[in-house]
Amino acid sequence: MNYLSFEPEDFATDAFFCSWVLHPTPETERFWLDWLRNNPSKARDIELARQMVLLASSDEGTAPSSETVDRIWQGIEEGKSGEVIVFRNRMIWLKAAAAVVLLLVAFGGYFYRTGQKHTYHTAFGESRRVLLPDGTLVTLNANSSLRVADRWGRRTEREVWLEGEAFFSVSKLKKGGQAVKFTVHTRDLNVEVRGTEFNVNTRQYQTQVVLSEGLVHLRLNDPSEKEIRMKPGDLVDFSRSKQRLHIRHLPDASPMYSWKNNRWTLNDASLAEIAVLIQETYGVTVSIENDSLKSQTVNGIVPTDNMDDLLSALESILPITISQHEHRVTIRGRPN
Amino acid sequence: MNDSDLWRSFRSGDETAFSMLYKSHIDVLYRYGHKLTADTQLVEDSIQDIFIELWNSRKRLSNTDSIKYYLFRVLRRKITQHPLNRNVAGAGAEISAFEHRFFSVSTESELIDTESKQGRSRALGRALTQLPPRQQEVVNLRYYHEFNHQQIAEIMNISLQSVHNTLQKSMKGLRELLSGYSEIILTALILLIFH
Repeated sequence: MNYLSFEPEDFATDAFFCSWVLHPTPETERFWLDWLRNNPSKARDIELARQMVLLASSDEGTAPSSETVDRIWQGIEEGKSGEVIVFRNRMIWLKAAAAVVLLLVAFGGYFYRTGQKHTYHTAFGESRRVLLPDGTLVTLNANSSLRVADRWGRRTEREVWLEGEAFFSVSKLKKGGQAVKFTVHTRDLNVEVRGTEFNVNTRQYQTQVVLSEGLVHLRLNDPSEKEIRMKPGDLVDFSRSKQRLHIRHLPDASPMYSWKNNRWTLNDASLAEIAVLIQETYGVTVSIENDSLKSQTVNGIVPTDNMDDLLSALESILPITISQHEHRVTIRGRPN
Repeated sequence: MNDSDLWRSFRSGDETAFSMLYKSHIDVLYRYGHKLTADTQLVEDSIQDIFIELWNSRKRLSNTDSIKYYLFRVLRRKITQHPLNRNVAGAGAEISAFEHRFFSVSTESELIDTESKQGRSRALGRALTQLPPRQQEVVNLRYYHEFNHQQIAEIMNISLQSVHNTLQKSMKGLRELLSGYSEIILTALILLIFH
């Protein structure tokens, strides 16, 4: 390399020169000091080039705080487990309730608009986690679909459309000092939030919303209806057939969305109710042979990772035997 | 553990390797991301998405001997092409998008009005902000993150020749900016000779 003809910027862009400035080794040190001694007229250029490299290698940007590092990692952990079908169930919801979630139920909604692009869908017996572009985490229950507006470009509104059931953990987003709202549309109503956790279930001809945390505004699709404000622990049911809205407060709402952790929390749940949940979650037909069995109630937590485990858990709790042929599940009484 | 070993462990599903991968790169990724957009949320979301995707597709990934290079390429693409990043509408708009992003912009008077040594080096540091945004990015990738020309070309999706020219131009610009500081050069020169 003929360094004699080099200008300072040539030195500064030379890889060998840079490695000496940034990471000197005995070899590079010897080379450049020797070269300098032999070419004293270049000393000024060399020093200028050295200063240029040092300046260029500075970075005034900010490093992430340890909270930021932790927060991002937590999001990664949550996001990555989702893909692997961690959640395979569905919640059972029973008479207890109260937690910070919203459940919306609507069956066969047709609330799609043109211009949406991403649709996430889960099969029977499957649940998955979806991380939206704004950091909102959605846990989608079995046999559900979530459509996400294609363009969130202006960030003035975040909108999704749900059919089935999902738990939303909405990230707080501010633009120009203003909180950006997040809207879940179902066939029956719109749920507007600014950063909160809630469960929405649109099954069984109704939409049900359970709020776990934060504040939620509900608006029925009928524009003449006034808006409803929900507080944590509130459960709102909207029955499509009766066109009626019902609000109650649950002392503990967490059983309403324990499905997202692969279990159902049963609080005096009747076998008939459980049968419906099994049908919705695993896509099977459940029949109960004896009518008196239907009103049998169950308390406790049952695993829902897969249907077989769930059925054996039920067999061990109740005096019943469960048989299964293809997509038909039959529940019979067991002599004591 | 070198990059290829770490990468191999991660691809085989080793969670510890994955978290090491995150810990050893989060700082540089965050810094670089912030130079691409002023939107902190977007930077965090993009990094998060990258690692989630990385984990989920680990079995399909090929070997790499520079994880940092791989991650930078993905991050830049993610941020510049993100639909929420309205400041970067596309390759053509990129240059203006980077304006006021790379380093904080300083005024001429700040640059001159420096008495203390610290103040002077700060002012010198800000000299970088006098360069056009595209040059700042190339300089940052080359001298701070120490990527080679080929890698910079790939990360920024520009030609090798363009990396070369941009660096050359940046250094000429820096030289001019520095020429107003002859006494610093002189002091340093003395140190060098006594070395």
